[in-house]
Amino acid sequence: MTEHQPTTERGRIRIEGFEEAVDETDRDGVDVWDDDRRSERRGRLEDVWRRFRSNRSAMVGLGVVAGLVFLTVFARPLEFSTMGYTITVQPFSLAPHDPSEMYVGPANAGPSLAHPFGTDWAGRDQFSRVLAGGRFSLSIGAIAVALALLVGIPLGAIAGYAGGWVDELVMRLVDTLYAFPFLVLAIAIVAVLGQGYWNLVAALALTGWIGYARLLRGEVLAVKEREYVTAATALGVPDRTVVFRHVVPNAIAPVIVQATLNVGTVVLSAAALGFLGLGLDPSTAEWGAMLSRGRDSLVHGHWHVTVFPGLAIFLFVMAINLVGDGLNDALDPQGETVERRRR
Amino acid sequence: MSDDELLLRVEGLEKEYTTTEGVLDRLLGNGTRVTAVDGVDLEIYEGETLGLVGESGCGKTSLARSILRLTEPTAGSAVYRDTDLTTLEGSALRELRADVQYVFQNPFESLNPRLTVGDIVGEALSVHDVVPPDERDRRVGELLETVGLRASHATRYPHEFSGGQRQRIGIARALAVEPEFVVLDEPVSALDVSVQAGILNLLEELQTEFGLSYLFIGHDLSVVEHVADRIAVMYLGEIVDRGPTEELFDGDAHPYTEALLSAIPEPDPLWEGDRIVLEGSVPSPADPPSGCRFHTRCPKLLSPAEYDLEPTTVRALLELRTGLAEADGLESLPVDPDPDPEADDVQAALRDAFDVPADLGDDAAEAVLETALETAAAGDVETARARLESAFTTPCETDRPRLEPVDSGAGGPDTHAVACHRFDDAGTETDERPDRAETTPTQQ
Repeated sequence: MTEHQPTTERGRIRIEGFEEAVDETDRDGVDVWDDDRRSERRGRLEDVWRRFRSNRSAMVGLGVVAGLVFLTVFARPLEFSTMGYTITVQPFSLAPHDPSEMYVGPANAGPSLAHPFGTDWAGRDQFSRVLAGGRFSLSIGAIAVALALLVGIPLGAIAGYAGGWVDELVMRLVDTLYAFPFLVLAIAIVAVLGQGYWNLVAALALTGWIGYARLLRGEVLAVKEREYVTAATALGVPDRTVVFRHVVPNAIAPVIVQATLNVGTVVLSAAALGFLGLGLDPSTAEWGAMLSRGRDSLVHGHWHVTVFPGLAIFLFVMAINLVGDGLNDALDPQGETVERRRR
Repeated sequence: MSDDELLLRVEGLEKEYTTTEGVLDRLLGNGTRVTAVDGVDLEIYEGETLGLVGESGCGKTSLARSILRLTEPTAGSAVYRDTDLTTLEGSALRELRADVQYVFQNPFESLNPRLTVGDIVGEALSVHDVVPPDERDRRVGELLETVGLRASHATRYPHEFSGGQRQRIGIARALAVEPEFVVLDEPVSALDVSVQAGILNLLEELQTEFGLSYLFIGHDLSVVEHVADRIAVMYLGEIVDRGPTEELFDGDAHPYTEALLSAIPEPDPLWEGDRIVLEGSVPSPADPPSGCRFHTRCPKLLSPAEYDLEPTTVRALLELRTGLAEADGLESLPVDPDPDPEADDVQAALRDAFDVPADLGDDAAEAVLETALETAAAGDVETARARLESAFTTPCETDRPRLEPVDSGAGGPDTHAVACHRFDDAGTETDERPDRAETTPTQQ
């Protein structure tokens, strides 16, 4: 029993041979995994889609957006004319009349079977005009946001990652542009460039990118401190690859959400500019321009002229907002936040 | 295990952080400076493992990241073979990263969640063109098998793996570029104890297989003892003790090292060794203590040259001075606020409160202390403190110790060097060095 006396000597109890005791592969549970269970594995995008699908209002929004896109694409035949040839991409025509054909019915007639949305002051079929007008509104929304992202994402990412004077330069420019009310700036740009579809898109893109740049820069500032970014640097990955392979994909989620929501805002702004007479040509079947023209008819009691394009704008913007909210929840779900907290 | 071939020599490396933010602060020069790494010298030899230990916030990671230029060092040099890492720029630096690699502390943070394991490991291969593009997938599979995973795991995402497995992926990524020198930044401290041993053994196997040199950062001395050939102990941005593992564990070491060693848990329920409990917390690196940086917590302070005092007495006198310095008056000192104090009682209470022995064991010193305590009891705390300071300032407070070899072996990897005045040849070290047995009875 002498060896059980109290001692001040260390190491009387030793754990011998623990190298052998550790079966490394089993410890980590590698072998427990069966490669056949692959079907259960989900990529991150599938995860996002699954969470998005479980959100009912978002799915309704998505359905409405999809329906509107379908209607506008198939409203009129799509044709491209080059060098005398006409290539018809899409031959179907859901709209019963040519939206710009005048006097297909009596002027300012209320809704009827022949003209479900009635006719406007020039006797044009409102139903056809609303359907075809979606082409302008929706494409302006999509293209302007896409262009704004194309400018905002690189600038925001580079400003956030590089820091220093590059950051100062980009962010002060953003601050300067933010100092103008959005619509006033857009009006100024349209006033300088003149009216027209692409000028309108340019005005909306030029005022839209600042939001994405600022949002992404903030996210990048947080993401670039993460260890996997340092790890990429430690591997000798060039900065450009680090930014666009490691930093941006991990910082982009809020920007995607913001961009989706902004499609609605941009459609509204396009309509607002159209209403102010700064959008497309007043005779074009664009929702905003139709509202603007309808003002005169409204005072004469012809409610249907403004109600239907207004409803179309309302429906699309609301649907896009539902999709954006759903995307927000799906991209940053509780699960991921909890996971991050656990780290 | 260590050959005598020098791989990496770090000299006078400094890393200073400033709290300035924005243009205005920079222009006005506002903000405090924090010296995280303060003039560190290190050598790493081929094939060895150098353990770097120290408590949280002492600058271990800052040091390692400064060596590899993951943060920019403020001063000093780190010469890897014949290349000074601190002066490399751009592509030259990126190319060198194929030779020096880094394994991160937190395997949950160090893998990009959006890339598959194959992409993560394969990125290293493609950046340095280690293998031709069509062989990358095969090589990734091989690497995963080397670290104990399966080749088929390449298509999975990091979130599908456990902590230990992720750390293996991190190791595979570091190995992909076929490095010579790997910094292991607390590679196991984020892991479950049961997984730690597996990772440590893997690292050891890889070292033998590929002839790697490691800088192993850790705060768990029992882990570092297991893997390291040599150990460097860091305190507040400085290396205070450096030498072969056995010598640090068995020989005379820096008081801080001794305290760390005594804190290693012992599984023997009947073990009665003394734990050296350090008082107070680590001082802020923004305002490091004068002299020896460890003097505010050191249990083995040197006696002031004029007297012959025990280390515990010197410690107590230092505490008393700190207490007096922080006090606004007699009332705020931890003594009974007696309305009509008998002078003697207050003095005794003061001694009691700061563990100053009733007799210092040195008449001259005792006389000075009594005068000072009388002054304090009379209410003049500041004068008392000044009197004590002029009398009892230890060399540890005023002179900064340098890292000096303590044994005959000058130079080479086997030198044991300590930065402590107790080991100064110039000092009164022969009679002042307390018998190690006093505080660590293990040596008896």
